[in-house]
Amino acid sequence: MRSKTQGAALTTAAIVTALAMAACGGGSNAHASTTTTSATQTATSTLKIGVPIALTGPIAATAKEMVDGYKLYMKQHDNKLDNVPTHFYYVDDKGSATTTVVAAKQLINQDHVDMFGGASLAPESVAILPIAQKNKIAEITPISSYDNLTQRTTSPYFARVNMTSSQPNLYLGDYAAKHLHYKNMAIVIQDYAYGWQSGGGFQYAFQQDGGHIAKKVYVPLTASTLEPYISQIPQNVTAVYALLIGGFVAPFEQDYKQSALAGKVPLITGPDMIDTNALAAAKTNAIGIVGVHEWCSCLTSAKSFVNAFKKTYGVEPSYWGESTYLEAEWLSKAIAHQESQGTSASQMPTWIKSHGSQFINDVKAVSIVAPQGPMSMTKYGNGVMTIYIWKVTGPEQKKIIYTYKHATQFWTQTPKTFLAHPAFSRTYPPQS
Amino acid sequence: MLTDVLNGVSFGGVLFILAAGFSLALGVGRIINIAHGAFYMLAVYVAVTLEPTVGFLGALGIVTMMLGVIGGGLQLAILRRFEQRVLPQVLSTFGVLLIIVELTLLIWGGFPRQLNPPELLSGSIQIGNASITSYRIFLIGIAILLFVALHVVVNRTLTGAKIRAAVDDAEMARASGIEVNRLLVGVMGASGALAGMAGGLGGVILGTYQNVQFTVLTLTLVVVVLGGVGTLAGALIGSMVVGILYSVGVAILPQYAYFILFGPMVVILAVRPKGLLSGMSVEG
Repeated sequence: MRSKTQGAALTTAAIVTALAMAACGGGSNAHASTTTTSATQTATSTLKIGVPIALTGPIAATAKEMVDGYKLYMKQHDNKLDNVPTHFYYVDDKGSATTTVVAAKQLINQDHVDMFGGASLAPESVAILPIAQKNKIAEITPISSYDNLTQRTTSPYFARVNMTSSQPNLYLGDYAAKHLHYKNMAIVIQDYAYGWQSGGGFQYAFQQDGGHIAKKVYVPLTASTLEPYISQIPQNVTAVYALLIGGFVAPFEQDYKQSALAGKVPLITGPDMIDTNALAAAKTNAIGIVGVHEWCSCLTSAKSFVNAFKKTYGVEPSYWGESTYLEAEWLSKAIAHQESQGTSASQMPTWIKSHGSQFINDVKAVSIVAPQGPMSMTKYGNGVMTIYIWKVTGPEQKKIIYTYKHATQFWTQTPKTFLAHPAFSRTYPPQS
Repeated sequence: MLTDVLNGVSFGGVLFILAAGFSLALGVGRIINIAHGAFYMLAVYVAVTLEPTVGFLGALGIVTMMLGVIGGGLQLAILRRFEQRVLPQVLSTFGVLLIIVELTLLIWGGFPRQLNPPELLSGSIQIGNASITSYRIFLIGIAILLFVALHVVVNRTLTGAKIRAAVDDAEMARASGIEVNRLLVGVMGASGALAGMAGGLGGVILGTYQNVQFTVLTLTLVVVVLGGVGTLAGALIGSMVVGILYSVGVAILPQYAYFILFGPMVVILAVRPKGLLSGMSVEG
């Protein structure tokens, strides 16, 4: 029989456990835990780029790959962007907006960075922007895809060398209606901003092209098991669009394959579900899926980068590793553009720090042939790129079945038309 | 609705397999192992790596033994210093959790991984309008067998009696010639082995990814606390209650997934603070 003392001790243990879990998982630690640098040069003409990035926590693996992308480019270019010696300051922000603010302030006040890079998630880039604006320095994110940063709430200090959350999915919605001839679909998306904007983009284009969405299913980030969500999908739909992330992808594809929908209701997906690591986890469960993605290590344009990445790190890069390599290359070209305007390499760091918005204009002026293909940028500060429709043909294998060139965040519409509707959210577009 | 109930029962089976090891260590050995979720995580990563070579059963056997050794080693190296001292147990096993998580990040890159069910169990069975996969039915069976086996060992064997005696009064047990330290190593070894088995089996359903260690630990704590700390029968009943309520609840209110998981625990604890099966024998 257990004594009262032992019962109280066990209760205390449960409380301590809960507190320990909250402290570890909530990212509420106010102090950035790691600052590392990628170069040893300390000359006054060194460009300092602050990179708040989630080196610990749920996306630590992808953040590490992003750092590897930066480091590979710097290693290949003698630690310079164009002719300018450059120093990357990586600070762990744990993927939380609160910790990102602290990290960004540390980079400004202690490390005196000249601009910001990094930020893998929307909360990170949104958290950095007010600090960048206050200090009038540039923030250029390689992958953080929150739509409105380059749509309804643009900033002269912000640019994104990539795409919005909705951008690839708009084209997938178009493809589903016009080429796959789907009429009546269900949508399954992760229940947070990235899922809403991705699904919203798909739904918007699909409906504009005459399609109908019968059901929208939202999967919370805290979902423990996925069958209850799959069982909500009506069995009479033509197809299902799904956008889940991280550890949800492989279990969803497996559960879907074992459900009553398998073999009857095709699955088409957003980029996260057919990326390199997702296919590695899903193995044969992803075969037959049609998805949209701007990246594949199998692209001809990516060969040199992929070989170098594999040689250096022993693994194939996903779009996370490519995003930062691309950003470094883009920044090099932006610096070269400013040099052509008369700013010398030795003056460049000081100039960039004191002319944040003008440097963003240099970034917007760049056209580049990236590992993922040709890219440029609109005046809104968002990438224009080639988007591919893929079909998964085998374990970790996919092939291009359609190509959209010059894909923009506004799809086929003018900015004025596109921006006239509300931002994609949990409630927009409404279920038809 | 039938589909949701069947899914709930199978999820309950998964939860019991996840919770069994933790419940054994806590209920029988009075050991709080915060690294339990990390044991699961490590087991799945290792199983995914080995499965192409040794097959599903081979991988399951290896990770079960491997985590058994790790669990026993943890007791021998660290936890024996903190016999029935809660805070040091929690803190030291939390440290072990962090070490395991970083190791998986270093070795496997931290990317999500999923086990595939064996070919024999990859189909599904139709029950009325509902269908359930063969693998989930298999897990329900494993959960029941596991409960029976643990109940028999703990309550009907001499070893089980010695363990209960050692935990209730270690000094008297030592004076009676029972090797308490060795028994507790065995308990933690068994607990680790069960966590390994949970990884080898549950990795087909939940997979593994960075942060799964907390997801599994949270689910385990919910089941154990709701069912009654210290009772294996409570863990089984808690698993089924949570599994069914979650599956049915999420089908009706999908945006409240986490509340559906924790809400019943709060309500039940408000009425029965010691859990569903409080007041029964310690080991169920």
